Amino acid sequence: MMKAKSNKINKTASINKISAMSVISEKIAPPKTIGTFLKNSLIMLFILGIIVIGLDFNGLFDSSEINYHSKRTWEEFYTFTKDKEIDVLLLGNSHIYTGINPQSLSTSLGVNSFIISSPGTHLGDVYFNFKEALRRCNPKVVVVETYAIKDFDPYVLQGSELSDQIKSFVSRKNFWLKFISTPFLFSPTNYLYAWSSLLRNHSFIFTDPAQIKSNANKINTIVPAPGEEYKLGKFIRFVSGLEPETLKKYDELGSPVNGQNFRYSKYTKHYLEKIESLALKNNIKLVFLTLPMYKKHIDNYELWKIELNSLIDDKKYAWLDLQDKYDEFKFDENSFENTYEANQHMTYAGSIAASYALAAFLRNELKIPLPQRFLENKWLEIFYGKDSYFENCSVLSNDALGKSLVRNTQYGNLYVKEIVSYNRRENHVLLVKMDKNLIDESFLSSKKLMITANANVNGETNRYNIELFKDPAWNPLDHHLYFHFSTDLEVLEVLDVFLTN
Amino acid sequence: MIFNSIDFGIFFIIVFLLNAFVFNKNLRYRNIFLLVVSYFFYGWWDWRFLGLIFFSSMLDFFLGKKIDEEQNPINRKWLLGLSLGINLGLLGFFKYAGFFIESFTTAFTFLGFPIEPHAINIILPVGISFYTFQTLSYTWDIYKRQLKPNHDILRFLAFVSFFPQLVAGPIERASHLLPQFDSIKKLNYQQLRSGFLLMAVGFFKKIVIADRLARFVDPAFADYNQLAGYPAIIAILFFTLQLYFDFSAYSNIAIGCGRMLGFELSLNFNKPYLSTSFSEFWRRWHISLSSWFKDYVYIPLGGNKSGKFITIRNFLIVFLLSGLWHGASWNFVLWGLFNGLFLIILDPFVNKFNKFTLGKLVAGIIVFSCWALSLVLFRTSNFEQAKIIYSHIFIISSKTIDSYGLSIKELNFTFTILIFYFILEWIELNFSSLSDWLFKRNLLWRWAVYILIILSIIILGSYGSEMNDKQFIYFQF
Repeated sequence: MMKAKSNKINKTASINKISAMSVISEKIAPPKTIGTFLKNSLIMLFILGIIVIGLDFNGLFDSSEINYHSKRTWEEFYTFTKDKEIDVLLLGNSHIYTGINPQSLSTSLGVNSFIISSPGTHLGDVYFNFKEALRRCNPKVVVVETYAIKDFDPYVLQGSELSDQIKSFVSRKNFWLKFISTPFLFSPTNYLYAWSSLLRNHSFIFTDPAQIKSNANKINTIVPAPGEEYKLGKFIRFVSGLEPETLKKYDELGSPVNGQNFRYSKYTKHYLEKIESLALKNNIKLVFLTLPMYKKHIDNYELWKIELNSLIDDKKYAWLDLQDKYDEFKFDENSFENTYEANQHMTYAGSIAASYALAAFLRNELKIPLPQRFLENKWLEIFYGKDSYFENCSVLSNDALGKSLVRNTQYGNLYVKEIVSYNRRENHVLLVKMDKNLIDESFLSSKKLMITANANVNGETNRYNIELFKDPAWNPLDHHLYFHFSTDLEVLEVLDVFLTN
Repeated sequence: MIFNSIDFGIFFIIVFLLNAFVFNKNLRYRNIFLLVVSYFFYGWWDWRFLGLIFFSSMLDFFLGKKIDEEQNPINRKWLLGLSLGINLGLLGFFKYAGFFIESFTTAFTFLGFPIEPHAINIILPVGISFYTFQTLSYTWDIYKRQLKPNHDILRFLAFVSFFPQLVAGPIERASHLLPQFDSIKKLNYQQLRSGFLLMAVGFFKKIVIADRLARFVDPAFADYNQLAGYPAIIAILFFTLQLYFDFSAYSNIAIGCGRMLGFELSLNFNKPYLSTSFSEFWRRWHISLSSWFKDYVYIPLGGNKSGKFITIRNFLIVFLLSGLWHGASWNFVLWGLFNGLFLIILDPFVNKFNKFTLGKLVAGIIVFSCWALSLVLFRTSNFEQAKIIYSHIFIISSKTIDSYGLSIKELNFTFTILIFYFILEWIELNFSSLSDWLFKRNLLWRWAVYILIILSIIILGSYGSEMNDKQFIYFQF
């Protein structure tokens, strides 16, 4: 009883003690003020920031990397420049990555060329791409495609233009350059969207939960596309050219693009000057390139040209304008994307023709001293046996990649530089090369080139007369090039080469 | 500058910090500061209309003083008439000139006298309906000797232009808001915290709910020719909800902003969609406007004290004017008329249900459905469009609901969140304030809720770099 009473007293005492303490602590606890509110707000902002940055860092809301051209390009660029030089750097938007084939350009000049481009972007973006690229390479030439020269204002970008700009921005890897470029590329409203994939892509929760799931599971969405589409920044999406239906529209509706509507903004001029001074500072030759659209696609190109001239005076800058000097022989219906929309790109065939035109311009007109890497092991690792290699360069050793059937041989009055046989996808390809210095183009133009050869068809070897054709798009710098493609006929031995009418 | 924009976020943080730490120590400087930032806020839309709000404020400031000083009842009446005439004249010119010209043209053409008026293109100054009513109430209250005029021009200008409520209310009475410009109250933690929570809830309602509903509503109503069957019913339902969440979100943010600057603004919405009668609904919906019409139109017309016929007439006048206040079109007039008729004809019937629990649910559904149907007039651009939608509601649609901009996942999410929200409103209506409940929880609870609300806005919000910040619906009025 006594013990219970004493416990009760102790308990009461301790309760009183706690109450007293809480009263004291209430008295000594500082009152909550605006300062407390601000402090709490900052702590909350910090917590939210950590959550957002954590989710961004984790990549949970990242976009799919399939067809994410800019990102793939920069990945490729950083891998490439780990141990290789870039001699010719090509900059622009989607027109250059569909309009130039860097394999073709590189193998015709013996250089490393690389395209850094972002779809839908402008000279501002080109400048920051150039700036970041210079941290990893020191090219001899930089080629800027002129479709990036347009009427843009980074502070009013909206819709797909803004989305393209953000994609390009996100793809660049140098944090500091990105940081300092932010106020130049975006209005303040878009800073957070540019930096945070969570803010940008939060709607994936409803629209693309599978993407979030694959991001969460760290499933690599990068699917190497057939034919190494992203190699050297190349991304040739269009294979087939203009179809009759589209061609009919040109006659019925006229040109979808009118050159007199072309304008450029003060930002374009500003960034052009910055690109120029960056090139000058780094002792890089700045070259402009205008890739063509189909001849009937643009009306009043001369007015466009006048506007462009006021910006890139062709007397001051090196400028290859393939629209102005439109070559109907090289650029036909097969050279252009099948679209009547304003933004027309080139096909693979068109890109080959444009690449040769650029190569010839750099070497023959500008006479830029470029490295000759034809025999460098690193260069051969990239190009040997790949797209455009045998068309431009000689076989080094007969193997599964390609065989040299004939080299430097006279057949009657024809001097053959090389005959190459190689397999590309399902085709047996036969190439005949004849030195341009020895045979004039005009001499060949009215004649057919034939060869007599022992060839294998379905396991049986017989003698055949084979007609070859000349594709005007393929115009290597030093030799005339003739082709023969066959799925079943494989040439084993060339017996004769001759011209007929 | 709209609340749901980065511009406003930056603006408000700067204003809040400067007010809290610099200006909220000296009454004169505080009022000058609030006046400057409010004019800056308003001028962000169109600086040319700053002159209009300044003129309107100055006019009522001086007329208010004159009315108070004047002892002659006839002169007082003339001065009040001048205030009403000029204010309503400006409102009429900017808001209704086009409407009246068009209506006269139609009427004359109908009578066989076709006329071709000169086309005039008048831009509606944002918020003119709101601040005009606010200043009108000031001179009226002085005339009625219910309010003493304010003799400090600065305070009066700051009162009229106070930015949180300037463009879409709540329509403040001078007797409530103006005295708050006469003194400085030290900001306290509780006030800031609850203001912040109100703003967060407002942004949640706007960005997560209203703007998502808009993504269905906008294309659905734009396709009014094809809109039929259950997609039409969903579109009407969603617009009814969108309007509430959009406007009440604005009011939440406005009240929250005001509170964080040391001002208490009036409640504008009090769970109107849980109303079980039409009269209750109008006591809970856009309270500041409803009470304005009650005090300055309904009661001066005699209210309900002069017999049944006069009461009905007064109700109809109020609702017609309310419709016209919303917009210069016959759609709004009809919308007002319908709601007036609902109140007069259906309320006695609906009230019979209110005697038992299940009946309250039925009454609530009737009130909500009538209101929702009336909003077709509110949402469509003209009577023809409304007529097409009304006539298509009960025919089978060739389109599915997911063909109108929201995926099924988003629709399910929207329905879930709406149900959850209305359960919370019901709890608050029948038990206690959820914010009071929250503020009594420990730190972990409170912070978890704050962070959850903000993260929900970030992750579930309907916003993005490719979407423009969506205007609040009531900005157009």
